Amino acid sequence: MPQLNDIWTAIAGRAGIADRRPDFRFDPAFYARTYPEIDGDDAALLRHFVDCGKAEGRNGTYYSLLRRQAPHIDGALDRLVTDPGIRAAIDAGHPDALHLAFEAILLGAPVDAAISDFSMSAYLEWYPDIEAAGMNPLMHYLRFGSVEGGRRTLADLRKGLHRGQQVFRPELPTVLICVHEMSRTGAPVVGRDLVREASRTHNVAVAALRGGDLLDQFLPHCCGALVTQNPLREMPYLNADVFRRIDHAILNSVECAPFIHPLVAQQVPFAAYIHEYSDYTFPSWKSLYMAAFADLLIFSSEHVRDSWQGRLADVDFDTATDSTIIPQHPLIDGQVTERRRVEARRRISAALGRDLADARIVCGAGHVQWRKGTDIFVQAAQICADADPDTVFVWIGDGRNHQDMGFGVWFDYHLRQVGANRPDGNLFMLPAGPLYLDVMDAADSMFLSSRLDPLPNVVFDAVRRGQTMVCFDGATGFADDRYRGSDRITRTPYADPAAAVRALLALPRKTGTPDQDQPAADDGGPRLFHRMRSALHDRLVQQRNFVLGESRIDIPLLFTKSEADRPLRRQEREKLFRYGRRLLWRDVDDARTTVAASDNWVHRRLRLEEYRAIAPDDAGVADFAIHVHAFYIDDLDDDLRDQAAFARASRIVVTTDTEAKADRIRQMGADRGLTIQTQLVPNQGRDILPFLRLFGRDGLAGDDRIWCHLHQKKSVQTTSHGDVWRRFLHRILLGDQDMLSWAVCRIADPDVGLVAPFEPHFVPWDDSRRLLAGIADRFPGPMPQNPLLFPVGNMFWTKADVARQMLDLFGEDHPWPNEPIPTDGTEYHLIERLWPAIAARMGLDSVFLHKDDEERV
Amino acid sequence: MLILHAKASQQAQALSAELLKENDFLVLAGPVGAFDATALHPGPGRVGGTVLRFTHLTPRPSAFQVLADCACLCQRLLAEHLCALRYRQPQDEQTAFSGDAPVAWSAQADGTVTAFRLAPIIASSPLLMSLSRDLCGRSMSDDRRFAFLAAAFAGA
Repeated sequence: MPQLNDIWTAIAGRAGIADRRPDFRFDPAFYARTYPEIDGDDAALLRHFVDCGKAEGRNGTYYSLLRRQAPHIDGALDRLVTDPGIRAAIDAGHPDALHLAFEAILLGAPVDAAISDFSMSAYLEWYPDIEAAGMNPLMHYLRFGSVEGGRRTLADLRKGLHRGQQVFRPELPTVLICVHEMSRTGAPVVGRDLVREASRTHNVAVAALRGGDLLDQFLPHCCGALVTQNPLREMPYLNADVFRRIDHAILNSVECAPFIHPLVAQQVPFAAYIHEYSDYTFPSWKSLYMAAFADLLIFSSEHVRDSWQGRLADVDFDTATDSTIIPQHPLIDGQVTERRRVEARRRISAALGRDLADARIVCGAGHVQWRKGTDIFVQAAQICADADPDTVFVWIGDGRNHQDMGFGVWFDYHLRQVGANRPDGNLFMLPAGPLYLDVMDAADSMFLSSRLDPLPNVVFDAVRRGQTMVCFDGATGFADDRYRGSDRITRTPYADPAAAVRALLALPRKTGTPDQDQPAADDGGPRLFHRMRSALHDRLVQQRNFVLGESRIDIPLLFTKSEADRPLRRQEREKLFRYGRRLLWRDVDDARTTVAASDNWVHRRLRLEEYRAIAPDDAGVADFAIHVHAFYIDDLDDDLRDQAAFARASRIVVTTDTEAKADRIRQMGADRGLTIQTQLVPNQGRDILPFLRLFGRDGLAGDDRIWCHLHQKKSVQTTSHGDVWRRFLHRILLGDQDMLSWAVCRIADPDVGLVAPFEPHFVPWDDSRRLLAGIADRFPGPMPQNPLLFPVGNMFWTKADVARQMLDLFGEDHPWPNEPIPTDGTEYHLIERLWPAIAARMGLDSVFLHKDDEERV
Repeated sequence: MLILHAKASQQAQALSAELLKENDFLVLAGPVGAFDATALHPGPGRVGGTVLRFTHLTPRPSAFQVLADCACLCQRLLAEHLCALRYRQPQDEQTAFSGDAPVAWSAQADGTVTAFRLAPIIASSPLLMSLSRDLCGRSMSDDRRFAFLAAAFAGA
């Protein structure tokens, strides 16, 4: 066993402090800091400690002090140590071994992580509260964190790092392949196949957000597999070569979006393989950020890419250059031997208790759920029962749960009502498992009853095993043009089980081939990983525009607003702008140039101007009214106090939902010498419907011509950021305690219909895009690809005529949706984006005021 | 590959189309709008072609910094095309470097580098990116950085 002093000498040498700290039992810096009354250099401090300090009960190190205060730290410290030499000393009961361990860890990187499961910097990064409190991370963990639980250390990170069976070879390129989980489901299985193929030419690192049964199938082909829910914070602390030398990455599914953050931080180029429709990808930031930051988006089918068109347009994504289609497998028309077909039918018959030797078998496969249309599959079986009693429907897949209120309860009842799984019936449900290949070999046809299903692997299996397949048009990538030439695939009208049954019964039965026939061979073309890697490489080589440096608008996207993250924020924007994609404006000139370059009829009426303050008695200030919707009233009093505009307004109308709130609001006004007119409104239509209704039948708007619309913005997402945003909007619209905003004058201009703050984010149509078709014929020209500028946050100045036209667009009797409403994509969200269009339709400009010194986030 | 580096507030005047004939690739490095008058810059989102654009949002006065950017951003392109990498400022004439040193540069008395040339073997080297990035992070003049770079490759 090495001597403790030798271990320390080696560690101190590596840390470059061997001269200053020859003995771990005394730390002169700690001694000087703790006992400032003792003067002298390091040698004098040591002399003091040896000669009298120790005898006086003074501590020579932080460990001595802490150990005295909290003896329980030794247990947690013991568990942290990984260095074999120190470990042996601890196990041998050496009295100073833990003292050495503590002082060595305290040296920080790189010593701490090399000898223990603790990283000082990681702990601070993972727990900003500790850093904010100015606490020593090791002290906190040993004294509190290890006792309270819930604080991760490198031990937890390392538990999630699984050693692969491949050796890292520095001469090979290294690829990171990310999967969202390691379950035996579609995307992870594709991920496993990617890893298997990549391992022939690359070092492969695998990362997943969640583990699962499939982990064991990844490990033989990779150098290491990491399971982490916080890749950004944890990946930098992995010391495996394969995670430190990543050349490029593949994110296999939009659900891998949390890996975007570390990849952008480490400037690793990546392709994202998208199997999911945007229709069911929530929250939407995952698809938005994937489109914004991936070097290349690879879709499994054209149909999936079509579903993403709105999301891609939202960030100005160039689909032609930055995306491609690569199905995960080639569609291979195969067959099974007759012997195999007969044997498979015998095994299924035995399992189901019904002789299927001569029956027409229609199979379905996958997790039992709405998306897969398992209920439609059942309806098809019901319809077919009369048409052809000898046709049997067999579904294989997990997910049945008679206690699941979302689907399982109703599906289970449905199955019981139609007599599923009865030997005399025509519908059977099998769990996933070993009978899968028997079902594939035995069935004549597959009915892909899915409502939305990108390119399910089960279809590739079915066709390869001699089946034909019926699917719905508009439901799957198998309805893409590329598959139209296949006589194995039949498309029927969407979600029409009767049409599907007719198609199924019209298809020829499967016949087995003679035993000597070979099974279907691969098409011999490049495999999936190779094609993806080539596509990514080609895209990277083609890039010609690069943007470098810090742009004027510095608002966090992937990272935080902390000063430490400033370089990372610069990197995220450099990448965004390199590809001409947008989540933020680069600066106000960028917005101005983009608006000027557009020939859309709405954009031609947008104006971007600089904010300025004017005196309340400025001659240019016309009469105006202010409407505030105050569902929450906490901050209203401060607003009345902080904005001189309220005192200058000719009318203040506040809508709210209870008489008690209305009383308080009127009192707030009275206390400040303001007359506030209140109106009770139902909690419907957020802030905007109460405003629009002022201009409808019996509305309170009266003859007032100029209106400012505000609200006490609060939502589920409201945080301190929300408060900053509200102040940003109010300041630009109203001004401050002494001065008014220039907005008050601009809205009085006869050519202006709207004045609002310039928003530094590039806010697209988002989910409102889905509603555009419904209103398209109400406008004189096409809606733009993106609105570019609109009153984000729905606070603005407008004219009564503009508000009336907005209300008319829908009509007063429109069936407005009630709360709770989605976070995006309702009429209310669309209205927010349509103000400039309504103004432009009236021949009026929309003015957006830029105030550089007003904090936005 | 020729890098033309317009520094802050410089507006490059019309560049000869001959430049495109003389070079496999032209890198236009400089602030927003610096090359608008040249009609050579690629449009937004353009991919492929022989003209690359490095838009500097914050001033990048150092030639070595531009080299490091290029080594990083054009690594794949340089590796595939095995061409020399040259640098100058738009208003300057092409510097004729004497000899066939793989790393050649001209510097002013204060250490500012005004032109350089890297031989194809250096420009395409996988070491160039990490070496140039590392040297960029060190506090020294561009002249010294190039001296280190030359020495490093001479040693290699």
